[in-house]
Amino acid sequence: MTLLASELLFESEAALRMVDSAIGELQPGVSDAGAHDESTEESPIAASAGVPSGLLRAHGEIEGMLEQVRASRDVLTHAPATRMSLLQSKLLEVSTVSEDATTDILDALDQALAIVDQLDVLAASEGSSTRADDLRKTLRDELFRMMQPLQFQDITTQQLAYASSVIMQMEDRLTNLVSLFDPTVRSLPAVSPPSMGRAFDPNAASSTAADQARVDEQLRTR
Amino acid sequence: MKFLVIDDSITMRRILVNSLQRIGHTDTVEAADGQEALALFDSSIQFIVTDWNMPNMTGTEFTRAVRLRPDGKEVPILMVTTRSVREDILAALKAGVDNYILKPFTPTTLKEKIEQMLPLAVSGDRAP
Repeated sequence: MTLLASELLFESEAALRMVDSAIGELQPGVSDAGAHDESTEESPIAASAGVPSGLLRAHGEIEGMLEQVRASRDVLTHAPATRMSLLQSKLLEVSTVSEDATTDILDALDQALAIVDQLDVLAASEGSSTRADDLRKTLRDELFRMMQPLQFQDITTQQLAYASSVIMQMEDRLTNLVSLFDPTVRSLPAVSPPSMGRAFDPNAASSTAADQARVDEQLRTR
Repeated sequence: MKFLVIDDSITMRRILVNSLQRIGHTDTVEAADGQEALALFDSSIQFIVTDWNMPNMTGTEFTRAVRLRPDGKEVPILMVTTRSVREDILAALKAGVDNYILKPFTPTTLKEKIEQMLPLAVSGDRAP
C-alpha cells in the first residue's frame, strides 16, 4: 500500500466514523455509536423514531462499509506486518553479510600488503633486481587499488538503512490504520526486528568524477 | 602530522586510513561518530577527515563544536560523504568544513585535497 493510499484510507475512515457517530447521536438512547450496550439499547426501529429515513439509510450504508473494512483487519494487521518484518530482517542480513565479507576482503588485502612489505625488507637486506622491485611496486599498487571499490559497502548499507526506515514508517502507518478499527491493536507486541542502527543519507548514491568536479566548482565559487 | 578519521562505517575508516598511510600520513586516530571524535580531539590533532551522516553526532555538528573550541578554530576539516546536493555543500561550508569529497573517492582526489589543505594546517589561514 502506498503512503498516499494509506493516508487516504485513514482519513476516509475517520470521516466515516465521524458521520456515523453524528447519526448515532441522533438516535434516542444511543450516545455512542461505537459503544453499544445490548442490555439498554433500544431496538433499531424504536431508536429510529424521529430520524429522517435518508439519514437512517446513510447510517446503514456506512455501517456496512465499516463492517467490510473491519473484515480485512486481520489481513492488515498480520500479513503485511509479517512480510515487512521479514523484509526488514532480510535487509539487515544483507547488510551484515556484506559488511562481514568486506571486512574479510580488507583483512586479506592488509595481509597481502604486509607480505609485500616483508619482501621489501628481504630485498633490502639480501639484494634484489630492478625487475623484482618493479613487480613488488606493481603488486602493492594493485592491492591498494582493489581496496577502493569496497567503498560500495558503505553506500549500499546507507541505501539499505533508508529502505529499512521506509518499511518501519509503513508499519507504523498500517498500525495507525488498523487501530481505527480495533484500538487493542496498539497493545500488540511489536513484530519488527531491531532497526539497522545506521545513520544514512536518504539520497546516498555512488558519485562520479563529474559529480566531484561539480562540487569542486562550487567550492571554488563560494 | 596527526589525522583524526571519523566515519561510522568501519570499512570506510579502514580505507581512509590505508589511503592516508599510502601518501605518508601514518599517524592516525579513529572515531565512529562525532561524539567519540570530540572526546578524542585535542591540540595534537592537525587534520580532520570526517563523514557527514553518523549516529549520536553528525559531521557538521562535530565541525561546529570543534570550531567553537580555541584549539579547533584553525584545524583543516575535510568532509568525505555521499551528500552531493548544493545545499548540503553550502551547509557543510557554513559549519566550518574546509573541503569536500564525494564517496566513493579516488586516492588521487584524496591526495589532491589533502595537499591543497596542508598549508592551512601549517599557517592556520582558513578560508572564512
